[in-house]
Amino acid sequence: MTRQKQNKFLLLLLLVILPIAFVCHFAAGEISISWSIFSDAWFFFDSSNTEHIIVREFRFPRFIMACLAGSALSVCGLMMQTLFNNPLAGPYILGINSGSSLFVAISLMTGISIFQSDFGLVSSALIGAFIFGLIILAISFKVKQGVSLLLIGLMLGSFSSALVSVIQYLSEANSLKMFTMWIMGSLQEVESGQLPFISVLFLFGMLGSFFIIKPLNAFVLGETEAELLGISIRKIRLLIIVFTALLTGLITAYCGPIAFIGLAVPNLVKIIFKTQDHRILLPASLIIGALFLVLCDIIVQLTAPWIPLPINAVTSLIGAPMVIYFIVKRLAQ
Amino acid sequence: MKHVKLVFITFPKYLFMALMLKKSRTVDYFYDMKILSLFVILSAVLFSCDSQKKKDISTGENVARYAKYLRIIEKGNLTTIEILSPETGEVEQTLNVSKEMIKTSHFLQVPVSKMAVLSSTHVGMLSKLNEIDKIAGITNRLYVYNKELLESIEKDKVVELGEEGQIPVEALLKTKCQALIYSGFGKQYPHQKQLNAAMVRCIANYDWRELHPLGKAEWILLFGYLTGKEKQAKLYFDKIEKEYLALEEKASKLKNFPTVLEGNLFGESWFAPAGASFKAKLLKDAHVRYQYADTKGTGSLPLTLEKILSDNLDTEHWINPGFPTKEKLFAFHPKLKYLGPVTKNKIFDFSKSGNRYWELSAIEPQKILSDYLSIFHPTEFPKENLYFYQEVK
Repeated sequence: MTRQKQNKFLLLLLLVILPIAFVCHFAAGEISISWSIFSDAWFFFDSSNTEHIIVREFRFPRFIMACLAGSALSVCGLMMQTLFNNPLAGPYILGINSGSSLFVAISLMTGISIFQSDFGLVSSALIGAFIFGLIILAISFKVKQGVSLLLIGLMLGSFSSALVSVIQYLSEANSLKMFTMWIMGSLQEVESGQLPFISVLFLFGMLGSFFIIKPLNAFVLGETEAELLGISIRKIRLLIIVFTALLTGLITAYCGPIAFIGLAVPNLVKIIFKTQDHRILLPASLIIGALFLVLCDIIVQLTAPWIPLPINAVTSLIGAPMVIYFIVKRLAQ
Repeated sequence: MKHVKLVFITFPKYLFMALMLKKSRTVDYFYDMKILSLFVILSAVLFSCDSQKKKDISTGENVARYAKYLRIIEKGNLTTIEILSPETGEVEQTLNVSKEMIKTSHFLQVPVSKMAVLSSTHVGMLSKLNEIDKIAGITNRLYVYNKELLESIEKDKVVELGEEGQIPVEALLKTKCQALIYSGFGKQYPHQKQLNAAMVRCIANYDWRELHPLGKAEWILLFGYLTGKEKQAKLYFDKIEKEYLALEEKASKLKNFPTVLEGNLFGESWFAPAGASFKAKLLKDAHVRYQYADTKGTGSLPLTLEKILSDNLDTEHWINPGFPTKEKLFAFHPKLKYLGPVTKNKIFDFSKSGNRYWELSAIEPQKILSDYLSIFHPTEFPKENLYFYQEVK
């Protein structure tokens, strides 16, 4: 079997694992619910039945959010790594998440009216991600060294954290409480009614990412080669930032900042699939990202009665050692 | 006092004179031995006196009757205040206070002229003793309710020191305060060594770890002794104790037990008060049925939202969600709308009073109990206006 066929088979296999992950995720909840109740919750929904509510309003949106968030952050990470030609790039490391956090902090804790609309949280997260994405892009024109760019990304993160601390110090108790809750990260806040809006934005960002697969492959060869192939570097760079900001901002707004997925999953995908072809890497990041976050959320749910772990802690606990492994492996090469 | 003077002043003086004599004259070996023996015997006698005194202190009558982590023993002009560790039950800090002039670092002369207080409850306790002007430093004006204190902050008479564990030492020293009261956490205060060297006494306050509402309130005695108003503190405490116990007694005769849910989500979990906690005790005294009343522990139980939802399907009341309006509550977490008490429209919160609750609830537990009784038993305890609480609409 050729590598290409092997990869396609692997992708199919991962797609089959996804429903199994759903079953495990559903079963991980603290309240035991039978499959007959699960089907009743969909076909004979009773709004006064707690179990029906748990199925429709708690477990289902949580699973969908885990899939969307995992996919979105992984695909963003992959695009950033390709754009900056650096395997350690990702929305979290490059400060895109921090941009969202800063603007959400402004939105939640300063009471500036422009952010107080219905979609204030989402729009502020998107604006923050986009501005910080543009800043890092602008700097990347001047700074060519990958490590320097990562350091600048980390500095941007520290800078925004410092500003957030100042805002936190000056904010009133209720706003502070809301922000603290948000920054801990959670997949359980999204309601089923919010899913269509989130899904539409997710699909837009994801389709856009798939639309630029060809230029992304050209970027792997290097910017000069990509230009020779007739690709508008400027346009593609901007598109990558737009789609990354959209997906990161969207997920950060609803789930809080989630670390390491954008960094760890694309690297894991490259190790598994042993290719630089984005026709494989992109869908693989999408599926493995979803599976990774679903697995993390299963851990959160299983440990919840004893240790209340935020999702961000679990992704970091699994993701950080993975990243260290990638770095050590790369240095060894 | 006599012993202290004898050990530290009189005896060294004579010892020094004797040694000087030895230098000036030819003295035999036995003369040296005589002095040494005298020193050893005298030290032993004095040490035994000191041990006796210590024994007396630890066996004396404790002034604090409800507080588990505060022990106060009066002996003449000297009062020994012991702060006990909630983790081990051992004495964590000992404070010897006296109104007399004693120039040693082991004693704190009271009344303390200025102090920095790092928790809202400390401000509340000082306000009940009319000693707000003793405050030289606080953490953040955003959390202050007391008008007098706010005015003092405006006039720069009181300094804002920022976060409790990271206060700027120089700014604190500039206030010339003699004591720093902080919420105890089982370890020394971060800058304790430097502050002690600058004659600022760091005193841990464990009111927040007390398990009885009156035990929490009883920490007013600490402030009473520090400000020299221990009599007023005792009188105040006796008054609230009487009121609290009277309400508890009246409530215990009720026949119905309304059901109640307490707390809110934090991160992934709902932290419900454990069965032996301070909050559970208040609910018990308010004669309600609390779902987790029989659980072990003095802190909180981390529960999932799903568990809370399924356990509290028929629960009537929800107390202390932490938000003044439903709009803010659901903005905090939209799925809270599925909870039983929300559908029954019986949610009550202290955020009406905001900082007043944080400042005064510890020292006015009888008012919390009174509010609870009016909320849970409105027919038997009718009240037009709740003191700390309001309905969340």
